Amino acid sequence: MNKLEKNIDTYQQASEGDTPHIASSFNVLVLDNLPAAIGVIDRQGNLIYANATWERYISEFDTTKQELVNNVYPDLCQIADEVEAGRVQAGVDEVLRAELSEFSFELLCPFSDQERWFKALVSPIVQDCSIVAATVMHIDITDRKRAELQTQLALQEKQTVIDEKQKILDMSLDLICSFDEEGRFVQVNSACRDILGYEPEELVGVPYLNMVYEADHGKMREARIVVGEDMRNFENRYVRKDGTLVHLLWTARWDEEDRRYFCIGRDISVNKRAEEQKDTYNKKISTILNSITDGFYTVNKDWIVTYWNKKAEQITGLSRKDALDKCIWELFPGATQMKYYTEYHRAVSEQVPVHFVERSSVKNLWLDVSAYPSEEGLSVYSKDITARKLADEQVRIANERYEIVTRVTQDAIWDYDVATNKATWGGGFGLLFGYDMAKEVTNMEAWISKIHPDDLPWFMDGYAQSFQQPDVNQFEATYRAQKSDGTYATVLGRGFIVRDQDGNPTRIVGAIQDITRHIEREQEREKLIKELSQANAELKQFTYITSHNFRAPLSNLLGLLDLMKAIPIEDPMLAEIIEGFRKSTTALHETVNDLIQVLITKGNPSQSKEQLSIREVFDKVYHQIRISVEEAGTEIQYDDQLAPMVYFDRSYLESILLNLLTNSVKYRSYQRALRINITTRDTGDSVQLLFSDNGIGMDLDRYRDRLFGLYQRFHDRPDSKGLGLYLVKSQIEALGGSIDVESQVDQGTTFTITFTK
Amino acid sequence: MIDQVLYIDDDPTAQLIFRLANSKASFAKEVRTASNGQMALDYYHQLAVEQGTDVYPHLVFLDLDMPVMGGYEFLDQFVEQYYERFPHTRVMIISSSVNPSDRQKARQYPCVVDFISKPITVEFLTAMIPVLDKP
Repeated sequence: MNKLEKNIDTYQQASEGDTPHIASSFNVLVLDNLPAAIGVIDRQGNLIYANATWERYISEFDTTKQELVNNVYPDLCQIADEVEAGRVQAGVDEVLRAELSEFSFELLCPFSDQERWFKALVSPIVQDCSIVAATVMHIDITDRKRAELQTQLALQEKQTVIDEKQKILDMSLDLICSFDEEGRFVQVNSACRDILGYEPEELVGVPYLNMVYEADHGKMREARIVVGEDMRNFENRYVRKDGTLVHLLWTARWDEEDRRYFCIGRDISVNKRAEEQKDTYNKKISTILNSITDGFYTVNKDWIVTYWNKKAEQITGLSRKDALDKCIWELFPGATQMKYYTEYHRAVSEQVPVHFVERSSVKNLWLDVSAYPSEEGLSVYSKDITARKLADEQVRIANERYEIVTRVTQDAIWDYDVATNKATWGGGFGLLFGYDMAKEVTNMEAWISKIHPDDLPWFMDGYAQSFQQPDVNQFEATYRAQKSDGTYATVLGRGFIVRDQDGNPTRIVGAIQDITRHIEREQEREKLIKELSQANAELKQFTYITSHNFRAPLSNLLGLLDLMKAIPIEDPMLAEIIEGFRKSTTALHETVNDLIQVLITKGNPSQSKEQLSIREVFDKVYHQIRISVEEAGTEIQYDDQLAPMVYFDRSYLESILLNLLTNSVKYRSYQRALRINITTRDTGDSVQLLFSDNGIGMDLDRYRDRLFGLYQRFHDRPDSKGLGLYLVKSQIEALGGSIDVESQVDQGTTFTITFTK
Repeated sequence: MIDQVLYIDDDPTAQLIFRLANSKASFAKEVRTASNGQMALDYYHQLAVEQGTDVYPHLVFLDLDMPVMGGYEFLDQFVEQYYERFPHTRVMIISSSVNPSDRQKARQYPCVVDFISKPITVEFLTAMIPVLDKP
């Protein structure tokens, strides 16, 4: 028993209990005569039954029912497309699992050579609420399918034609579009992407006027399109999506049938820009011609002025308006007698550029003129060189002066040309070095041979350094050079290096000065200063030692006299001798001390300054000599309110006040009680101390010059040594102050001391 | 009254005057003299060797200008070798020197207390007594 029979048996056995056999047989008959191929698949998808129609169909392809039945559905359909096969398998499975009430698909017959299309319908067979199997039904739909495909092909063909047309439109670089009666875009080609920056879809339905640059709206309203006539070369500006403007040149036509405008717009921005550039360029040329510092004008072949720039107006005093279209020789009749006439004619007739310098025919100017022949006529540049002419004249005068100076100077002026290694000398050279040498030394080597061998190495170093550094243009050197008589002169040589653009020296101009005597004097002076300093130091040392040697025995004498004080002396003569001895010793001691004070003051100018209370210092001094001051019945008035402090050296101030006070006591008038008046005042940059008394005074007419001198005495009074005022003056001046005196004989004296602050 | 004074001066007359003034003023019990710096150092050496005695000059009068060894050289050596041993030593420079730099220089030594001029009188010594009693 083959497989199919067995399956049918199984099927029949399973259904026998439920279905009357007659009914079953009738059903089979119907099934076998239906024009559709019908089969049954079990729940595993095995085809367990196929009707006669199916059997008949496959027999056309030499396949038997036995070969068909028991294959798995839908594998037996042999669907070529994998995706479709998957989809179909899933659909069938869903029906068998009751997830789908029905599933249909289309399939191409795998056996037939011709295209045979079937529609497959799979639906479940339900018994007792469960699926026991499914029916599959294949209906031939080849005719319908073929018609469908034909329609599709026809449609595709039409689309291709449309696409190609659009392609052609899109290929166009020009903007091709149509508007409806309201002026809305209906169709736009893709050129709008490049020209306007919009996608075609963005423009459709938009009123074109929205796209036009506002300033051009008026122009748009005026434009009329006449029916039947093309509008050509209409220009306007559109606003691109990015806001920039684009110049478009339009051709448009109204189509009555479609009731549409058909337009082609060409982007002419590039042309526009070129035009604008040309305008700008022309303006620039004009500006340049006007701004060139030369006067510039052109004349045509008939000498008629065709161009006249601003500078030409200035130089000639003739405005452009007055000059244009006039004959140059009629404008400047004077010029016909000058170089202008002959030179311009030569330029035109010989067709060569001419260049000359000539006075202006109308103004007091010097002009530097260049004229170039051209096809149109002549282009003339004329430059005002009056200033340069004047400068040249000044240079000439300066040169003359220089010549005169070099003739009279004692310096040797020289001029060295680097390229030719040639030296030329001014007049001073012969005078300085001897007249033979000027002829002998004509180049650098000859001069170097004259330099003292000891000075040569560093002279050469310094010279080479100055020479090689491009930024150095001056040099100076002191050295010895041999004169024609063989002796050496010490000279100061100064030079100025002239360099070319690359910094290479081309020429050196300089002067040599004989400083031999100057140097000698300098050396003598230095020697003298050295000797004097030496002598001064030695003298100072000598003075210190001498005064020391004086003072040691003198101190002993004082010491011995001091010891004698308490020893009673009975011999009156001895007492007198000892008293004389004491006085002399004391006087000698005081003198030596004064001299030492002078020495200290002169030898040490740098004393320590400090802020001092004048009153405090004065009181100290007063107490030192109080006895002698009080003996003289002195009345002292002291007023330091205006300037109580002074910036000075303490010991000097003590010494000064002591000397002034003792002087007042020493040179007091015996006819009246001594009165001393001390006041201070501030003068802004200094403090003044006024010290006056009512003493015997001095005859300043006689003594003023000697008053502050060393060992100058004007009165025969005890203890008058002529040292005090000398010391006072020395001490004040050592610290930058000054002292002045006013005095009248038998009236009194006033010293004014000025301390710097 | 202080126990001992050392007077260093090459001038024998000055030494004599000092001795006389000292006794008149009743200034020091004992006056030691030295004619130059070296002799003074020799004396200090002797003092240092004699262990136990703490009697040494608390006051030294020193002249600057002396043969063999001057005042400064003595000061240098003394400060270096003996000052630590004899810390109560006070030095007064007595000099006829008029060179101002001498005063500056003398002040740089820690033991130097003053710079005085000759002659040394009875009055000066008398005035010194209460000053010296102070620590």
